[in-house]
Amino acid sequence: MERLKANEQKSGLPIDYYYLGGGDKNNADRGGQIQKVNLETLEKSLATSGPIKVISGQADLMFRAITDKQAAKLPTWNSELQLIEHSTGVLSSQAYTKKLNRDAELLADASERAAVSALLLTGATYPQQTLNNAWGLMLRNQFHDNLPGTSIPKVYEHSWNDGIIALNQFAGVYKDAIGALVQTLNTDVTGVPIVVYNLLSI
Amino acid sequence: MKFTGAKSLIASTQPLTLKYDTDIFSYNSYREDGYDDRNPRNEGHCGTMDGKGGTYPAEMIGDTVRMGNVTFAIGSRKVSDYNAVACLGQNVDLPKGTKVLHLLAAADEDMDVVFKSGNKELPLSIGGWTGYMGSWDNREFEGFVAELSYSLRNKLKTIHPAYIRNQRIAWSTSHHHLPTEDALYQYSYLFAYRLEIPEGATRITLPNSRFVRIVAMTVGDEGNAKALKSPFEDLKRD
Repeated sequence: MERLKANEQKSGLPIDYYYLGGGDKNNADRGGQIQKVNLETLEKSLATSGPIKVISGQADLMFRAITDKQAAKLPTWNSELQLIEHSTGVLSSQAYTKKLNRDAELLADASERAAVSALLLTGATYPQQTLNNAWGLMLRNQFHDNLPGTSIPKVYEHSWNDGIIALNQFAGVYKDAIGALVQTLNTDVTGVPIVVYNLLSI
Repeated sequence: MKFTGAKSLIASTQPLTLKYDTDIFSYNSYREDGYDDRNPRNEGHCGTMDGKGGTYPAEMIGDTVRMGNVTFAIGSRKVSDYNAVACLGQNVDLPKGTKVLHLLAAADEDMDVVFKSGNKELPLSIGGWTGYMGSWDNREFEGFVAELSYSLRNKLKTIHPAYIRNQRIAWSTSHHHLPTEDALYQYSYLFAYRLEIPEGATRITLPNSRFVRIVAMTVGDEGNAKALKSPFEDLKRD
């Protein structure tokens, strides 16, 4: 009721919004299923006519119901959209995981460009399976606790290893592709030929 | 999109048929495969990666492992079938004209060994089949620390220094098999190695190191140039 009143005061709309079945308390970490007690409470709320009208629906229902006229009165928030109860102040937590992620992003881009060039110019095999696998490991590390730095310590041992495997595979693809491309060059010159590959294209 | 003038410069590779003598794969339905002695063999006990029951999860690998332009053929993973070669100093014949030999291999732990071909010694560091490929500085605490916890009240015992293993991974998965269970988050790997065979050589002599296991050999120049500098240079420690 307090939140509804506060919302009405700020925006003119006495409405609010709750997820059902999400969050640690509702076992989201074990699949996010709705607990029986929550479902019963919801059914009860839908059936009774109290001071609050409860609607069970899709996540966008409330936002779509707001008219342009109503939306014009909504307050403006001109600041960070910070999730105040999760991952606050973790910019420097688990910095190595963040470094691995950034390295993997850069190397994924470089290896992709090199592999496509090698495919088009030399007919080299496009290593889709290896790239998919490395991407999967990199993206797994971007899970909302891993990359921010809010997992338990044991997770980071696995996280580092996944990141290092991803780098290993991206680097392998990169080396193969550059190797194939280099073979198309005429290096029959006086002195020692040196090949420079500029992955920045500048 | 087509590039005029683009042509295939990549020679195809040819898997070799190996004389397997070791069983290092098991399926979920029978994780003791490779470890049990219910099918006695003349060669004696020739199973598992570490001699202690650890095997690769067969359900996680297919009949081939592809790495760049190289294709490795994986042997049968059925119960009691052999699917790897233990290195016991034996010779393996190579097709005439072999210039490059690709190995898919691993050992029970990181192992420096020497292959021989013609008059050439070919040293390799074969990677351990499990464990982490690397780690950041990792803190170990005194006393009991529940795995699913932070160690807020335990005193710091030591910091294990960061490391990176640089063997090239051709295949990996995040667990392996023990005779009675899945060893979860106990990763397993197969590594790829490239050997340049001296001209005229018709065979390769394997090192005498029985826990170095060769899973596949493939011949053929896949068009790879000499390996580039490692992108991990900044992670290396004293």
